[in-house]
Amino acid sequence: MSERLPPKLASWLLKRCGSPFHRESLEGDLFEQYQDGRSRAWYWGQVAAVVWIAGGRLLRTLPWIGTARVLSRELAGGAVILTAITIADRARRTHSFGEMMSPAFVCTLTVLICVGVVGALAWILAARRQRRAAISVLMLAFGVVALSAGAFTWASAACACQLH
Amino acid sequence: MRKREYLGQLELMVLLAVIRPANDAYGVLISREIAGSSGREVALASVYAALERLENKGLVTATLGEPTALRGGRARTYFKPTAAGLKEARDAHETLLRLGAGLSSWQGESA
Repeated sequence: MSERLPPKLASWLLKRCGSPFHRESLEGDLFEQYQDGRSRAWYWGQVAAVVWIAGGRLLRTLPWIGTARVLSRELAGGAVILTAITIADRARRTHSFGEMMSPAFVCTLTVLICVGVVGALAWILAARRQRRAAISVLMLAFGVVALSAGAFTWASAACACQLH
Repeated sequence: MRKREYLGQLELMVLLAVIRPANDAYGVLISREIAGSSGREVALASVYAALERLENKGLVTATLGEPTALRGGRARTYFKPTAAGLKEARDAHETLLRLGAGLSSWQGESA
């Protein structure tokens, strides 16, 4: 009887990404089922499940405080870069400070600065491993939303005044 | 009072499937037992993940078999319930039976 070989890439993924728990037995079980006439799609589906479960386990084992620190640092860095680009772009397109400070521009700047401040504070809190870091970040997020809403309200009022 | 750790549905199904065939429960067989009894096919990866949790809780033990050509030279791992595993399965079964007693009053009624 000739041996059917399972898809090579799927087998490689299985070896590479699968959980170490009785990995050889799992590979053998899948091989056995494949020899029994299971399709390539079935084999790929099983390997996808292996990768999905291994990925979920990896995410669960990541320390959340470390993840929060990395994410908040990226958020703060991204906001600073975007703010600088926005200001430079706006300055290039306009001729005076008054023209530059349009409601839309002020709104964008406010949101970016708030995001940057929240990111930086969350980064500092996560770095200090404060016990109530999550609550502080949530309060700051609420502050950002309130500030943004205020800025947009002001912007719409300013636009309405300009129209009249 | 000691906090009791309850088994999940899949863990319980896997544990019961390990108990069913005497001495030769391995991945494929466990998966077939579950599919045959519940009508739902369970991915082998999920079965192994549940087996890992059960082994960590001391409810099953694993023994490595001999490698065979049918499996591309890979060995089977056979799983057996421990005494604690049998007790856990019995307790869960009895609890479900007691809780399920209320179902009889709903017989004949559509959802």
